[in-house]
Amino acid sequence: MTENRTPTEQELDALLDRQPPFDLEAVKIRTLSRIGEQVGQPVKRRAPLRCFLIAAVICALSVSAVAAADYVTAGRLSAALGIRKPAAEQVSEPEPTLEDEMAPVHVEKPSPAPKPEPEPEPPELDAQIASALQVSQGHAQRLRPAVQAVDQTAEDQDVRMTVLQTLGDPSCLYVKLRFDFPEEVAASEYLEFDTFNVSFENADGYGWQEDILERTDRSITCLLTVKLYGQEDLNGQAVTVTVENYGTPHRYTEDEIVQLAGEAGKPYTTIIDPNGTVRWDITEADLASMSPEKSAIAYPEGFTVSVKTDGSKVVTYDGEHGDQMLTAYLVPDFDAVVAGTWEQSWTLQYEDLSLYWEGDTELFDPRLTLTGFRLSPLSWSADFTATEDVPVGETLNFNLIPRDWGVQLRRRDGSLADQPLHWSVGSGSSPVPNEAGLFVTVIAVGNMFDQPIDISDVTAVIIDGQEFPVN
Amino acid sequence: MKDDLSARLRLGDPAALEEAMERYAAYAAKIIAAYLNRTLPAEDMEEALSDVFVSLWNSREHLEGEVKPYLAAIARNAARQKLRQFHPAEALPEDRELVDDTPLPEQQAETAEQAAALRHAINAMAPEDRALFIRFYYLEQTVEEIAAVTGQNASTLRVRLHRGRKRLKQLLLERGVCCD
Repeated sequence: MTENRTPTEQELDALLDRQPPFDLEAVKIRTLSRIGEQVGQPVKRRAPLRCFLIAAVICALSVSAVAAADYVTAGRLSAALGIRKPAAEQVSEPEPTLEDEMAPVHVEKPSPAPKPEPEPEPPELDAQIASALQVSQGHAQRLRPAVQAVDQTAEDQDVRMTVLQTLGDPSCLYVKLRFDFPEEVAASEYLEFDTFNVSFENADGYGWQEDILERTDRSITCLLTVKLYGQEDLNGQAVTVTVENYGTPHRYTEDEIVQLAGEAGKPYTTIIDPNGTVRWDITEADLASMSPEKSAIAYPEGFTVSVKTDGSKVVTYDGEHGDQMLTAYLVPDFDAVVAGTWEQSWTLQYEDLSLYWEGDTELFDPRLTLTGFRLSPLSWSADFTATEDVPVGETLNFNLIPRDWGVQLRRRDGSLADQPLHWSVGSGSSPVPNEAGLFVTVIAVGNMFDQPIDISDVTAVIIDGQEFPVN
Repeated sequence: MKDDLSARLRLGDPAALEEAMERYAAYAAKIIAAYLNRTLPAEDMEEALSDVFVSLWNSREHLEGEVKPYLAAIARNAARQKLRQFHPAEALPEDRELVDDTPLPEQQAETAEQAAALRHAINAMAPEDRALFIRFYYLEQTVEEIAAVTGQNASTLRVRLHRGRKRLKQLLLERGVCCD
């Protein structure tokens, strides 16, 4: 399995324009002199900087855990641990002096306290989003704190894109968008956007898909579903949605498709990009000017210009294809009806409705420790550390975690409800050695629910027979 | 004949380390250069390679089976460390993506035969996408790292990965390899 994921020499060569220079003898001398002192000695390990970084993260998590536990125990935990609260909270009323007590009582009418500004009500969950996600009216009310009204519009070529509303949690986001078209552009069901892109200011791994909620002659309304793979929190981040070109996939005619030979090569003077557009970088003049000594020029697009032994010059497409014939398209695969760009950015702000558990409990395998679990109406995630003897077992670590979990949710009334969990996304750090010489990988898995679940009265999650209280 | 290189390394035989350098130094150098997408001066590369083989030596007790994949992992980590030196101000992500909502080809290619089909499918991709997939899956670079070393826009890379996965899935389906 590890072998399967190791790059081959050929794959590496494809990324390099020349062999990396080094002197093997110099490497040998340098290496053997460095290990010379160790030969015959027990192996020593040096904890890399990343150990400390992870330790710092663990410390930060521990502080959070104490804070959360302290909140739940109304301060009893911090008192028991001897943790001081911030000074501002410890300021007490001064003791009354005798003079104070003897002074005539003068009761001043307290001025009426200013009325606190009422918290703005979170917006109602959009009816189309609720319908698409099969959320009942009562559940929709409980989801309201996770809803954000955006109502921002971008316009180009008389086409408007309006970001209407979002529903989100730390690792997933629903965005409702509407496109309005002028009279001369029909919102035909055959038309689509060429590019649909979502980006966050600080999130590395995520994916998205768009689904049509409603299509009329003048508008298209769609729901964007974004799923985060990493462990960043989406909430509070700036998000940008960019859409380009409205049109239809190109229907190719026979004369727009050509067959290119692979290794055999043909004297092409036209360079065709992999996406089908024609480039004219290599002209007859370029070929004519090639030095006979220079046998080949490789281009990053996969084309190679080479001089054959008989002196003829050929352009080949991707020699690695051997003698296969390749289909190349002379025109792009998309015909734009409205060529434009529509982009909107906003900052995500909504309440995290998640329930959390933090701790250290062996789960599923003696090598796995569950350190955190999060359950929200929209998604779930679990954090593990995996400890093993060898440092190349990252894939093994993920394999230790079953794909499907037969989980039960304990309700406030003590009843249990089945809630199967299936993880499909995850992230993991590289293994680092701990003090015992074992290799530790920090991994997280999770998934979105197909439709939101109601967690309003969930008090614990039971996984593999073990109960994890959440709050 | 059975290759006993890892066994000899485990026993602490310096000659085995020398042999490992002869066999795999060029391979490790390619991983480092490909990861960084740049040619290092020879002296820097020699230092990086020396780090790789010293790491191999220091963790030899854990060696099992082939040395090559183990060494590839060490070389990737060495390149990652080097990348941090090149971009000290940039906070490169510690974690890397492993899976997404589209069933990942690498997860479906669990046998050697399937892995071979995956490799074949990746090789059949457009060169630009193939390079991206080799970086992402076999060099295990994050999107941010690929963007940092190639100068390409991270969002564009994500779009290409997203589309590439769809195409890859189709290619594998045509070969009867995947999917759920």
